[in-house]
Amino acid sequence: MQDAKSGITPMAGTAEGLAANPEMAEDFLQFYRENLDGVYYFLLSRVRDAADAEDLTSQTFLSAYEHQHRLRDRQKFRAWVFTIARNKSVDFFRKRSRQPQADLNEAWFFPDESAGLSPDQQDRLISLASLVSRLSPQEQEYLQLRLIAQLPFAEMARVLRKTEASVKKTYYRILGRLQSQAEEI
Amino acid sequence: MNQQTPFEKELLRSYALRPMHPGFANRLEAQLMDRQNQYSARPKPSLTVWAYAAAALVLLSLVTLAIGPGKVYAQLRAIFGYVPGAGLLDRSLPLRLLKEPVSQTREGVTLRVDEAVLSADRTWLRYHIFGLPLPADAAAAQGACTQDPYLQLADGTHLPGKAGIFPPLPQDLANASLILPCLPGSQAADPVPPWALDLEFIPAPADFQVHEVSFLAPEVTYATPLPSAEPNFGHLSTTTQAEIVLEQTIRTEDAYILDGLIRPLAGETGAVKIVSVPVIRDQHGNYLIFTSPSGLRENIYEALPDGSVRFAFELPMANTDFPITLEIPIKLVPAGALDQSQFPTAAATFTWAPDEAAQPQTEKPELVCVLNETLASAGTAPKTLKGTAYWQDAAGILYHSALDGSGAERLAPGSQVAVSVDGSQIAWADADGLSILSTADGQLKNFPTLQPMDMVWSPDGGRLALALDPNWPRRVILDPATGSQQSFDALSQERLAGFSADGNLIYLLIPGTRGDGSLVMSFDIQSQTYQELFYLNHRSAKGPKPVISADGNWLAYLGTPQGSIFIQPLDGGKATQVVDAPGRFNAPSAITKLIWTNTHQLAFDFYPAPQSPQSTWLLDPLSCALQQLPLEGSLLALRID
Repeated sequence: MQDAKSGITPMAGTAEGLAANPEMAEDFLQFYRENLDGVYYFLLSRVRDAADAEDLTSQTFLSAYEHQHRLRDRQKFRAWVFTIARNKSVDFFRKRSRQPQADLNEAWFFPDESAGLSPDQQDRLISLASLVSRLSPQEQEYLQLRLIAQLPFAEMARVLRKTEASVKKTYYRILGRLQSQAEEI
Repeated sequence: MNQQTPFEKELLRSYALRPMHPGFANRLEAQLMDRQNQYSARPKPSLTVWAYAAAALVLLSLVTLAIGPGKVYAQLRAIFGYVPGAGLLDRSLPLRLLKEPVSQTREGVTLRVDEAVLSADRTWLRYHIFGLPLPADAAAAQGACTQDPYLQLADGTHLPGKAGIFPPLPQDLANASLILPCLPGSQAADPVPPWALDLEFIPAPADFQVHEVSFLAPEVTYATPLPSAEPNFGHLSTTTQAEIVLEQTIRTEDAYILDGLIRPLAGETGAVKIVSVPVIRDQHGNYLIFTSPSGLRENIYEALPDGSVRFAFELPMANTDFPITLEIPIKLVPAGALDQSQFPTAAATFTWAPDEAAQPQTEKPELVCVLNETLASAGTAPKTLKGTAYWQDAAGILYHSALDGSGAERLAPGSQVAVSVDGSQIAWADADGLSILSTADGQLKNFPTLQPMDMVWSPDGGRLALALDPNWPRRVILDPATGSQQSFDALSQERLAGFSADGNLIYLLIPGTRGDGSLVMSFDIQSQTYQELFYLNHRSAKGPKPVISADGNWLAYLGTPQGSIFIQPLDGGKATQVVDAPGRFNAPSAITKLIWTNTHQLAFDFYPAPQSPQSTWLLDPLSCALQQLPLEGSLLALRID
């Protein structure tokens, strides 16, 4: 069935309805498989704890599964799921009274030695991590959505509730600033 | 997927995100398929340090109820003890230890349990895995095993643990097995049997050292607003909002541990955030070195759900004039606030001194040559100091010049330089592979098949040991005169540190998997055998950049806190800190290059902060004489005439 105005097939049905609609459920699972990494690593980059990231990822997909009937435009599905993920992480920080930013401890700044990096490469990444940690939480969110979640600008704009042009401009401004700082490393 | 520039790829890698647990994806998919409609949040990893801390608090409450608050501190002093590495232990039952170290080796990989302490509230194991091969590629790393180790009891019970901490074992149990379902970096799907080491425990001997813990009646001081240096700050609070509580102190043989918390005042909402690196000064205002106490906490700070932040600092006794003053810059941030810049910064401060009787009487102060403020005030090397510096400019071009940077001559675009002790051979890596210049006759030799990542000269300049790139785990010993190459397989991700004085041994530094120790080993070139020497103290999560002095007697490396420089004799003697904590202040600054000169001086590049220019320094670790070298590029090698 298509929406008469948009021409887009809606994600029809309630959760119960979906359970009785194997095709729709399979669509969701396919979406899940394609986007699990993006959602998980996006959340991990925010909460910095694997168990918490797993919790929030589970909550995100289960919530999306249950409420997908509310979303009529499938083209916006991914942005919608990332919006859920973002909201889950904000709730998480609110409950934990903790902020989505780098904690000042060594482990945050220093990449795992087992990554096989040369000492110079490690130093470079440490410095970059330090630069990123000094960005505001909002600026860090642009990097998380673009670099880690791999969202196109249009979908970032939906998650951040801004225009695509504004998101693109802000992202490249942040990137440019980081790059010029990184040149001094 | 978005197209990414090389810089974006670098940024992505700087997040250092650990691979997803391999079972998670399937587990969640199964949940989705089952449509349970309930968000069965995954249980947190059990039995963390904080689980035990909670248990300790319950115990504290029970003890208080049982014997009354007047006696509680004395009783607690008797119950709890601190063992470095193992942490704060409940001694209400006799402690037990590992009878003897045990190890198992399979195909060059060794799992070894060196130490164990069993108390009423936990089982602590110090174990290492050495010889892990590098993951073949990023995809392999993504699929790596992350299953937790566990203790298996005779009745089949599994007790999972993390970071070497497992649940307590029954007092009458003398045996258990440490099981690792798979090794870090190995493929989860690899059909290998789990690693299993049988452990035997014995009662701790009477002389087993457990440090006493002094539980303090809470001493509270209040955080006070700091004048803001940032023009975009909002209002400054005129009222105190948080308090700092010192709860307990521990005296070890050479340090004091201060343990406490910073918490919002009653009625305040929000969470305490640590906004900068703390500063600890002695009574003269000198900065003090501090570290995170081993085993007490995973990090110096730990945020608590109620908005408080726990802290623990370890201060050396030696060279510390009490009282000390601790200052931690904090903010109190309301829940849900994403932008912290609008909230004022305050200083959580307290002053502390041990009891007179507890202060060390005979400790000889240990000299640290260089502190951050020493760097700021040290002079430039005199013109009379002659020698040659090898350095790289921002464009990746190698140069050699006088020590003051004058007379710079271009060598080649390249990345590595090694100069023999007598200065007669200069080796560097460039696009053509390995190039070696003989300064005596100007002859240049090229070895296109060798692309070194690490390289060190033998003391006589006759051989060059190389770690090859991209074949990182392979080593080659090259005789430049004849071109002969002796290849040997590397153990793991070790770094080449240098040769022994007689040129018969190569020293290597092997990172342990748990990050709490790097192992120094020697490789006998003649017999092709490895020998374990000692663990590095003051481990660092950063690359330790090990380098052996020209006489083969000293190892210099970077260790905690925050990449300070230590030197240690290769006979396993005590390590000495010579440069203090470059990253201790507001920025995670770093020493990016560390080398020995032919005159047994240390040269290092120091980045005070990413936005500041680097500087190059020359230090005599025996006299502590420090001089700045006015070089513009990144130091690679240095030879003093």
